[in-house]
Amino acid sequence: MDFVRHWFTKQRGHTPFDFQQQTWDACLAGRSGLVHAPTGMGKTFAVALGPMMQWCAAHADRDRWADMPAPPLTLLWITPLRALATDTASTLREPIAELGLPWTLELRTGDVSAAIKARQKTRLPTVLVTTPESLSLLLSYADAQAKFAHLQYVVVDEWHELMATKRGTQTELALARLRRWNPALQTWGLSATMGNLEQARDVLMGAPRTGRFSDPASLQPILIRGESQKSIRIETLIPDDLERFPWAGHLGLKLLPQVLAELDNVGSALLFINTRSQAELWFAAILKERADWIGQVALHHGSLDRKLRNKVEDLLRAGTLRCVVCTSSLDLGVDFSPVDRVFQVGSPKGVARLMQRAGRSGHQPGAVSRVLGVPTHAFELIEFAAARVGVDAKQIESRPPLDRPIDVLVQHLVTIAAGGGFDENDLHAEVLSTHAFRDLTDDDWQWAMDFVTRGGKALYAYPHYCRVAQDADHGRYRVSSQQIAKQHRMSIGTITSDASMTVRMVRGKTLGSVEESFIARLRVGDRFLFAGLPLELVRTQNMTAYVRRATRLSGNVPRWQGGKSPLSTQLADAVRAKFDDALEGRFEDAEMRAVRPLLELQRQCSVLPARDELLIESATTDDGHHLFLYPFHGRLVHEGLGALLAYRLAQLSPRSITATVNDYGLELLCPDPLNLDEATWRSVLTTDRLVEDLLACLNATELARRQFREIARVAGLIFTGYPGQSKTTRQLQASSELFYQVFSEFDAANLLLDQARREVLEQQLEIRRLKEALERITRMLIVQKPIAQLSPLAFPLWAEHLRENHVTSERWSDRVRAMAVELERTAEPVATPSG
Amino acid sequence: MDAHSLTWHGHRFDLLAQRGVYWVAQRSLIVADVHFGKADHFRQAGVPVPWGTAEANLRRLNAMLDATAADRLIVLGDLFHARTGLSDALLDSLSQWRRQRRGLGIVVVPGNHDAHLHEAVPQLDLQWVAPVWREAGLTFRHDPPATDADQPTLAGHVHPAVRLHAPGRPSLRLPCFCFGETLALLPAFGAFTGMHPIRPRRGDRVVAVHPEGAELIDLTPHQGSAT
Repeated sequence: MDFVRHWFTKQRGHTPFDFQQQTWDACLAGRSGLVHAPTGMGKTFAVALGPMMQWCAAHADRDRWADMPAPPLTLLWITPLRALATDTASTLREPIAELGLPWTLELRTGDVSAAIKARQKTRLPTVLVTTPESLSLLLSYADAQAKFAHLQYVVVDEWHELMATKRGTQTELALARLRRWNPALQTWGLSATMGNLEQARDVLMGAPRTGRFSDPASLQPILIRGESQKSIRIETLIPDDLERFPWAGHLGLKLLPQVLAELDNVGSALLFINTRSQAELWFAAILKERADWIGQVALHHGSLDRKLRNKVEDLLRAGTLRCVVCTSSLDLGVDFSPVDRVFQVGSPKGVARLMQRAGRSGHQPGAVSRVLGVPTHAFELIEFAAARVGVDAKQIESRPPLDRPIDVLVQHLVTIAAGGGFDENDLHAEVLSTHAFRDLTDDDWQWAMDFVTRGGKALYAYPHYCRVAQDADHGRYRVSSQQIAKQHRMSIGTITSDASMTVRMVRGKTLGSVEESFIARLRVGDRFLFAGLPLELVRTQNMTAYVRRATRLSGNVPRWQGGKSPLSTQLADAVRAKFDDALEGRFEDAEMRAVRPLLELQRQCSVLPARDELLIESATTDDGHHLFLYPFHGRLVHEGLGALLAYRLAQLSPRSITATVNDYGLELLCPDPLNLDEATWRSVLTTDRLVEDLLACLNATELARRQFREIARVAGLIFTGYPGQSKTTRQLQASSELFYQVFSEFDAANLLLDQARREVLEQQLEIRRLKEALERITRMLIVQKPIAQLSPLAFPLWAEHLRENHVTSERWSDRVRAMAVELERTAEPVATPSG
Repeated sequence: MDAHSLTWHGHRFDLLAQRGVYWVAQRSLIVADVHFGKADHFRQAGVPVPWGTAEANLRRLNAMLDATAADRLIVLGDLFHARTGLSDALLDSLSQWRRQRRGLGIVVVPGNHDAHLHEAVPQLDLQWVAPVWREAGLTFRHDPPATDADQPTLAGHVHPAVRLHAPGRPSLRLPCFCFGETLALLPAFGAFTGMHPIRPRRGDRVVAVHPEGAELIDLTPHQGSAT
């Protein structure tokens, strides 16, 4: 056993896991690969120790290490989160110090001090921990190639999180550049659970190497799976009395007493909530019931100020918290030792997500991870039962990598033009070697080149435009001036967010930020719950909402956006399979037995749809004529489908139809009865003219205009400005909206506009899933069923519609409750055979 | 041409969908915030703005001048965006336009963007008046006065816009005219200019300009017509 392995065994107190050994061996053999292992299994050491072993083997004379100068940049570690960078650095420092390696390690993120940045201008450390943006920034300096000359390894942490984003594309492009400089570069990725791990590996590696550096089969990039998967147990809190008319989006605090009873008995717990506003509510409700837990219960969500979140994360690491109420903000990265118990409040939404959250519990490697589901309405019982099937069958969701985001390419061209310039053919080949741009057409490449050199096709002869220009003698492309390079560096980075407003106490302390649209709806004096505090809006000024503590909270609870992720295809399918089980009289899980009366009632007043049936219920209420369809494809798909059906039905004969959706289905509401035969249904559920009809009905221009905000920033059209900016830069400020408008009017063929439309269709409307849904429907039996009263499946849609169209939440819940009572009274009691 | 007429402090004005106001009695066309040269200025700094905005401005200006047969143009400031934007190409096409419109008087109140540019364009035969222009009991200026004006005032500078909400749809921002009690704001005329949402007061006459159809939308509540 070599020196490093020996140290590992001593330090960790156990022999290395197989996947760690495998990774080290592969690394020593010069291979690249993707390592997949659950949180807390030692992934970091799996990929970090290989390079150290290799260095030790090459420098066997350990006595001389102390006098050696630190080796130049050898290992580059890319992480998606700045917060994570600090954690990683301290983990990596441990072996370096204890092995006595003469290595240096530094961070390079936006948070790093100017002094360190200045030092890194002359020399980079042996190990550099950085983010995709900071790496791009390093590539934008003219001496980049020299600084990276000795780089041998790149590690990309949390690749599952990066891959499906523009930052992932940015990473792909940067890696292609590093591989051009060192064709033998070894790339290692770390990833959590997802369905397309092979693809994730291929995306990270780019096109296979060819020619002199092509890999023999034994050295192809590999996929290493962490062997001892923690087994995952999913349990559900079953309510004592089940409402047979569940409604979506009600506050869901009904199970609070049971959750509190569970919390009484555990040392530490994470309570995952799907939306930030609900997290605020749970946090307040827990402290109201357990006032003595102040200081032991904390709140963590993405809108809270980074400093507040850091504090909570530190306390988590220290193990002093009883419970953290959190959202997906704790899904990623943040490393802390596992907790005793994980709760998932509300729909699990996806199999991978529930698995990852469950993985936060269970102390020892190999221990069981347990997650306790807390349903906020009855159907979620089925979702937890379905998620259990999904976990056992490994029906895990995939994350698709992005395809040709032209804004990221444009940014990269300017980055490389600033970083020493480029030869067009070389860079073209390099870009084509990435997965994201492997299918880039020559025309699109030409367009991107024109855009950075001439400003776009419409500007063919414009004499004064300059951003990137070709050298007269070498033919290399470089930025036209240092001013351009400087401006570009200020705007590098693809992370963008909605316009958000800072929430700050009048007396100075920053609490976090919320969407501008949320604050815009409030008036001065209005109260809302944020960061666990009842607050009152005092004034808004310069994108800051000044607040003070309110003495009491008004009954109206604000909702803000986010957290409306749809039920995944995998989970939705598993839910339908559970319906089929119920149809065949199989109620094997506790959840299914609990929800049985509800399913019986559905069968009694309507139909329980089988997997190959599309149920369409029709009903008439005081509100109008309702049609309820249940495709079970998640809310985004249903949103697109609802708009599409409303539009197509109105084409058949003019009428006004509104659509309401949830994860299971959609409601169409029309003032007049809609009696459609099967042929008509088939005609409006066709995939023909899908894109055209969607664009026509969705106010797509407006959606694209909004999507363009991010694109304009990535492509370098917008300067966010910086402190001490001169008047010249102020005169250069224009909104993305204005760019969208002038491009539409004066350069309609601009590919960035095209990208905005594509992103709306693909990301906001999930057009691929929508198309699949429609294709599936063509093979399904259409079951039309007039219903005398709302069925359990229809009721949540009716309630959702009511909520979207009514003013206060109090009035809404009163009406929903009254309706539920009325339905419950008229519904026949269902005899439940026990067992 | 879509036009809304209104009488304000005894003067009749026609609001035009091309984002100008025709002052009927004085046969004068009034525009604000043209920002000629803004696209050029951006391009020189490496920001790709498509070609054609200046030409579009001139086309729209011509359309209004022809339709109204105005014999004078009053510009409420920011006719030009920045000195660096005054490219040869731009000055050539402006000079050519000026030769075609030789009989037109052009009064320019300087704005914050072109306060020091009156020497830069002698060939355009512009009558620069500073800091404000007064005529027939009305004041014409670039930025609106900080306090309520003592004399009815027409101004630009703000690039006023209103936000329209429709249930279930993203909201829409549209440039607008806003005629208040003593202050009338004009929308920015230039094709490459942004906008800034305003909060009209009760009784203000607000007329929005639809971006594509080039039509006007009167948003004024019925009871509150301007005096």
